[in-house]
Amino acid sequence: MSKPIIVIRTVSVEKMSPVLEACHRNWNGHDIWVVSNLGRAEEMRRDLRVARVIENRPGDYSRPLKMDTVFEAVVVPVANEGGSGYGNVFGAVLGMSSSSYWLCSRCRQLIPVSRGWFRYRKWMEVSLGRVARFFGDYWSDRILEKE
Amino acid sequence: MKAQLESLREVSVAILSCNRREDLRQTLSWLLDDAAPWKEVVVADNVSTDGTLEMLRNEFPSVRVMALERNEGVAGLNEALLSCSGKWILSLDDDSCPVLETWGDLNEVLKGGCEFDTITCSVRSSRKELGAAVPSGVSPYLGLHQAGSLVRRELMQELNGYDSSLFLWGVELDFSARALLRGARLGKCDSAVVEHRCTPANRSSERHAFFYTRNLLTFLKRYAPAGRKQTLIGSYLANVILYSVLHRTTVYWRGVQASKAWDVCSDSSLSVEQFEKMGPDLRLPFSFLG
Repeated sequence: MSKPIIVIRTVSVEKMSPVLEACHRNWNGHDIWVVSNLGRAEEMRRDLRVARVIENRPGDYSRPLKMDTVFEAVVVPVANEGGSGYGNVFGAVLGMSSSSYWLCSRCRQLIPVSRGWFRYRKWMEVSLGRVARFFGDYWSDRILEKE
Repeated sequence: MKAQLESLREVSVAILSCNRREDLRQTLSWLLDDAAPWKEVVVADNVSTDGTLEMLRNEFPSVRVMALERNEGVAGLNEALLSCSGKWILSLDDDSCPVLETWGDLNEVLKGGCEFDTITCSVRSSRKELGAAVPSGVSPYLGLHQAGSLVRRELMQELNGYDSSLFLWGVELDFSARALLRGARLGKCDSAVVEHRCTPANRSSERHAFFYTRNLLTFLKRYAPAGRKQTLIGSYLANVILYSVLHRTTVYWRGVQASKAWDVCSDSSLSVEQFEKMGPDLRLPFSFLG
């Protein structure tokens, strides 16, 4: 039995259709699983290309999502080109075992990346985010003091 | 199928259009074919220069057209929304259209008297690959989608439509917050599908980034729960700094500067529970570039 593809739903249900189309074309014959929050799970189940929906709690994407299944591919859709801005989500990937890892750029184009790439991007955005947070809090205080 | 959706005879359709003539033609053709159920269809046109008005006049004479003199974003849609006479108003984009074969469940809900004041449909980019829906009725959902939501006329008039000062993008979040603070019940119907083709025309990543940055910061200033406002705004501004560096752009900074036009409010905060259930995606502005 062929290994399934798993897609982390990082974009709206609306934007998931071209993602699923790209996955279906690229991995014809493989089941497609989708990780989604409970609020949108039923909508995802309705898509005939989706074989299984795994429900997660809001906020779970920042931690590795542990799964026993070994996947053919882990796919992370991003609305932009390079995935910048999604660092907090990339951590979810690190709990999964897969033959390959992919970014779905602009929710249409599958680009192969590595686990290391996801790890690096998460680390970079989270680390730089902590530095930025110091300045963000100061800036927020200034805005609120003015009112 | 449409003849059976009797409750839609009390639904006015309001569409905002700007330079997407062919999309609007496709949408209206589908909306108005045989036995169209709608009470009325109103199009507010934001100064299109691609022949949209001529197309409307020649091909869709039953559509009420509001030809605006200036492009003021959602202010134009408000003119259409507030002129509607139906019990419910369906707000659509010019490239979105209800898939009426899936609206049977919603029709029954509306016929039976609905306790909700807004109903957001399942907005999808394609109607293909959809299996049959399990009738879902309407369930609580603290949100709205401008390209596929029903709003009670009374609520629309009470709130005076969308906040036109926000121009576009993020207006639904503001509307949802105001509706909640007025005690409205917001819901969704997952079985009723609206196809939103999301045509690339008139969509610019940089414009999205600017307006979303500005409008989401304004949302936080106005509605973030009182005890969490500072933390949420601090976190948001941290992302402005971070992604300005990573994306090498000033657009987020410009969005923050533009939000100075709105003051921080302390008397219109949502509760923590309401805010968390709304779950606004505060990273959205930073997902267009980069």
